[in-house]
Amino acid sequence: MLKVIKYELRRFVNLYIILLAGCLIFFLLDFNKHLLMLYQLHASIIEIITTGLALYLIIIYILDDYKNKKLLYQKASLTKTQEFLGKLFTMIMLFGSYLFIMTFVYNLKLYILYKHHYLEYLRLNLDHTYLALIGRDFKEWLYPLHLCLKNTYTIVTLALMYGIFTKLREKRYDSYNCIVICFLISAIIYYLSNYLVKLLDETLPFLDFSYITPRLRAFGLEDYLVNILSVNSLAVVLLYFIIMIKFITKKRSDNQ
Amino acid sequence: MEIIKDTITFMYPNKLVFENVEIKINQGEIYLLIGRNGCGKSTLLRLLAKIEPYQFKLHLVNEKEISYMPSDLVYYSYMKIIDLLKFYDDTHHNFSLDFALKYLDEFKLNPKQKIKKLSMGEQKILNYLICLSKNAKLYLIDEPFPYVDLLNDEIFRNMIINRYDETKTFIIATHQINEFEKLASYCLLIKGYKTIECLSTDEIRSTVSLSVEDYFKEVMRYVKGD
Amino acid sequence: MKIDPNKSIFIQLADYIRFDIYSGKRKPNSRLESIRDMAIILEVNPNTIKRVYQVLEEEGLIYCHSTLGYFVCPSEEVIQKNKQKYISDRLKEFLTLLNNCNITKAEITKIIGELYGDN
Repeated sequence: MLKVIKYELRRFVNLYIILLAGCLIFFLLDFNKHLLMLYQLHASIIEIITTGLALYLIIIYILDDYKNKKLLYQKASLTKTQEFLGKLFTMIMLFGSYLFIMTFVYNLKLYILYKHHYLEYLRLNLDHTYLALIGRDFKEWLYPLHLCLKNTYTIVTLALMYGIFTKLREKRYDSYNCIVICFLISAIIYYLSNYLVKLLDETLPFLDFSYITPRLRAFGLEDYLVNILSVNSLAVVLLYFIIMIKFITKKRSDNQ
Repeated sequence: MEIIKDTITFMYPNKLVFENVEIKINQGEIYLLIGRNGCGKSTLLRLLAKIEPYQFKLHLVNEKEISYMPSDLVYYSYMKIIDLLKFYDDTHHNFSLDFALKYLDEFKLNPKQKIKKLSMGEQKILNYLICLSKNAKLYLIDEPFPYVDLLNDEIFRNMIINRYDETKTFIIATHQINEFEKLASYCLLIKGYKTIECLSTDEIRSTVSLSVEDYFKEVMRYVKGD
Repeated sequence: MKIDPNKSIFIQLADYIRFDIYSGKRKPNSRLESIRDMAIILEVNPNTIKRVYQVLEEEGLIYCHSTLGYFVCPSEEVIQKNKQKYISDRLKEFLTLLNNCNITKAEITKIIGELYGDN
């Protein structure tokens, strides 16, 4: 697994450095201007890039599977799980470390601001950026961790969905069925994880785990579908649902 | 002894590739896989290599003991030649780095060069080198020759003979039949989607007095007219 | 050795080694190249060479030492006998050819004489 991480990290290290350097330069450019708008913008840039990086990585990995790149590991003396975990940890390490480095730099900059201005003034105006840690409770300090966990959660769910999809394809199920089954399974995962978060919140209230899953506390399947897929995609899912009922028992007949 | 004896039916979503085709591969032979463009040579190799989801019954050969050379080199864009070789050395237990480095020298490739900057021919060479550096039981080689110069062709053939022993089987798909026909003991001829003919190369030469290449031309002309 | 791709490689190879032995290029008891070396030199399938060696061994022209590989038969007598048998086999084929062409013995001796004379 470590071997996989080693090679996968090197693969993305260029992109990672470019993103990091780009963001740092952006931070440094207006070093002397202390516009609060800018701090809110910075925080959202960090959030967006972190999530974007996570999604980009998983999309790259899924695309790899449709190109020859998958051949690199196919005959290797590693198990599929080792490869999967290696890639997963690479993704988590990349966007996690990115988030933490940027949060650190961001807060450093805020700290300099804090030296010149009143803290209360800051608090009022930075209320919507959860990445500003200065002057906050311990509970709120966990927000970067929560963001990281949230991304991990999304990535793992997507990876699982894709994993199930390929497994089903291998068994020659119709691709419509595969998609529908994957969505249903991910819905179940979401439902269960929400329930788990509720339990965790009750047992360890100070950690505020409800940030991990989308912050809307949705415990129903309908809420899930609305939140994750939005109303438009709900229609698509319904369509798939109808197709599924039609095809669910029919295997692809072209092979064996 | 057979390592594969099976009947294949396979189709891509819109295209039938094989229908009830019998195929039999013996251990310890060098096969030449020939056929016209788009007849399913690469697909057959991918099926044998278990890249396409298809359950071949392999005898005497473990799935990890297959060395498959795709028609294009697979690498990450940051890699130098040596990185790729080290990658294989790290992740494939049957890969021999010494063998690879020895032949890298013979091909006059600089291990510090970026793979992205290599020419088509050099990439082919590297691809081939990696495939043969694995100590496998079944080698599946997809089009080794295009872009490669004549002297390197010679090294290609030597490498196969060097690797060859009675437990190893080679299947080489190529259009440059004359380059390999002296080496091959059998040729698998894909005729349409219903038959794969397996012929002994020496038999072709002694019965019809034609080289495999000429024989192939004759046969394919006939199939087309059919 | 140049291999003609239009003819059986097996026969060409067997003849190649045979002629070397008959003509004395390969001395009795001298070692033959290993199967792999031979395959690399000639760029042909090692299996073919193995078969050639086996056939020649059956004929008694070479023998196999369990560890050292293949050697040319030590006895000059056996080689000569084998050579004569080979030549007569070939000549028999040649004679059928002549018969088919309807050429008399006198005519053919004349042609042969002329050919030798030219040399």
